[in-house]
Amino acid sequence: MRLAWCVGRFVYPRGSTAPLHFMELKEFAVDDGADFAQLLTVRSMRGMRSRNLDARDVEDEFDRWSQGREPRFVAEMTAALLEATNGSTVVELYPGSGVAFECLKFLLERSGAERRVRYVGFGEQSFRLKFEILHGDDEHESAFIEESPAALNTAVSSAEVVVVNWSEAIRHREPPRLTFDELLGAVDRPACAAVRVTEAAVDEERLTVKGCSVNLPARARFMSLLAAAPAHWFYRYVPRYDATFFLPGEADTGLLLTYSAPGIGALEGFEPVGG
Amino acid sequence: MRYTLERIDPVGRAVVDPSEQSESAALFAVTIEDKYEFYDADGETFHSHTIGGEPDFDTCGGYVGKVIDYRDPRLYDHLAANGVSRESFGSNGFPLLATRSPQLDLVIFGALQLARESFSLDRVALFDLGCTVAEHYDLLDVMFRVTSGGREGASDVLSYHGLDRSSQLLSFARVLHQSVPTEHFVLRQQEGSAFEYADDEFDFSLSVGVVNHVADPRLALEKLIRITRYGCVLALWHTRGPEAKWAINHRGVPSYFFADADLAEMEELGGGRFYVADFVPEFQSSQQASYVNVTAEEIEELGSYHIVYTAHPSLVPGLEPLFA
Repeated sequence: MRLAWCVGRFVYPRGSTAPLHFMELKEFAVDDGADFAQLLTVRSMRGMRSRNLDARDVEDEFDRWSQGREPRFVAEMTAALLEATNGSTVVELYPGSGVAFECLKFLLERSGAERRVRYVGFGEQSFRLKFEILHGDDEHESAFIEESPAALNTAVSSAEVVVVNWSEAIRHREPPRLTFDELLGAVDRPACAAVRVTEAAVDEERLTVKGCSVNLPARARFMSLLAAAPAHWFYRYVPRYDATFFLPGEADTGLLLTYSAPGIGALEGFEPVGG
Repeated sequence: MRYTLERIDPVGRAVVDPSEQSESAALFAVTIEDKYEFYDADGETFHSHTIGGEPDFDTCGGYVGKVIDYRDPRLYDHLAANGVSRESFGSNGFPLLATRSPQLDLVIFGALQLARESFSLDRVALFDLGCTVAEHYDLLDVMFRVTSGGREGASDVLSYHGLDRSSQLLSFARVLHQSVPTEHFVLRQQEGSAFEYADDEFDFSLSVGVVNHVADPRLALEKLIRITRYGCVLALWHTRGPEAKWAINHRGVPSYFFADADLAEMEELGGGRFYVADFVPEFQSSQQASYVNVTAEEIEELGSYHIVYTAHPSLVPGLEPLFA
């Protein structure tokens, strides 16, 4: 199917569907703007909280702001895994600019656990500078490893907790170099994952609004993998999460969140895989 | 389903032609949507995806992106190897430096260094009108560090005062500059023509297009000139037409294009002169289609000056006066 497309700011006379004006939004605005704004919003809240400026109000505002957002889901799972493993090193596979990392910092500081983490991002070369600059000047140590099959096992083996952020990995203009199955195959320790999945019977190639063709694992297949795994996994499914990010396909999409660690129970909203 | 995508500019598809609007028509209650749109062969909307959600997200991408790029060690290395000059800022080594904002930072850096020398300034008070996330501070920091061999940075040289109407962007400016002592990094939230400072309170001031879209542009520029001792460095939007012009920008905000008569009047009031570093016609700008109700013909008359207002021409060597 042939489609014409554009991305930008549409200005309509109030009440009309005929645009008065269109201004194309540049890639930096579309690609980075929302992520930078999210990350710095959380950082501002961390600062306000640390200065004890109505700390409870700040925490409530963080909860309100982050509700339903993927970085919050990922951060909550990661915080739980760190608690369960008494770990201090996390590797996030495809962190983007590190919005989930920033949310994790807030949660750790809020818990009062005085826990400092070493957080390693593993991802596209284009995110190295952003990740290093945005997180370099912080109490939590950070590092970035550029994606490659060779570096994957090294990155995973350096951490006590692994975050597989396939949801973030497929948000960009180029597909990730590694496949979802390669990422899963490398995980041999406590881990959590955020995965955009398709409700089709089999994995689906879907086109994102950025024109990138990405692989969405089939929800059923992924759940079967988790059920067959020796470790106990918990999951939560958010149907049609940010669904319009993909052009229409064979089936609906959603966000599957899952985690596993020895001795960990079900977080709020999660249930055991396999019942 | 397989798709073949072709990028288009939807202007002309179903866009109201502003030239067809009656002059008496009272526009402008507008709805603004940031989104991807996909159209089928019949021109009907097939798919749509809304983006953003955070206030000022679009400006965030650019300005925070600049902070990140300015802090790239490779930028320091580029300037250390090639010097801080129009040549190094125009070379292929770092294309970002050839864009508007860094070019203005280069101008203000040059004037500022001359002023430090000529007037034995200890710490330079800089006022940044419409500072957003204070990204100018970061490029100035790099330039200070490079030219001093690392002995001094912006936190040693500047007393920086940033003003913006967005509390969100100011909070981002603060968190991005947490290591800078707050007594030399002051941020204020205020509308851009409502500020009040003493005459000559600042050594230099900077405004990249901001005076054009504040509530009272002429007043803002007049104030900026009055509160600045040595030089106002500006990106100033201008019309070649006989009279100043108002237009609505893409955020639904009225924007004022100064006419020559406005600027001549400012020279009379302030006793200084405008000196031109560059002029960019609007049709060549990197963000065309920024204005809602401006025809293509009117665009031809519009452009932006990179300009310095000063009563000390020795601070802007090589720049010609706007008015002979």
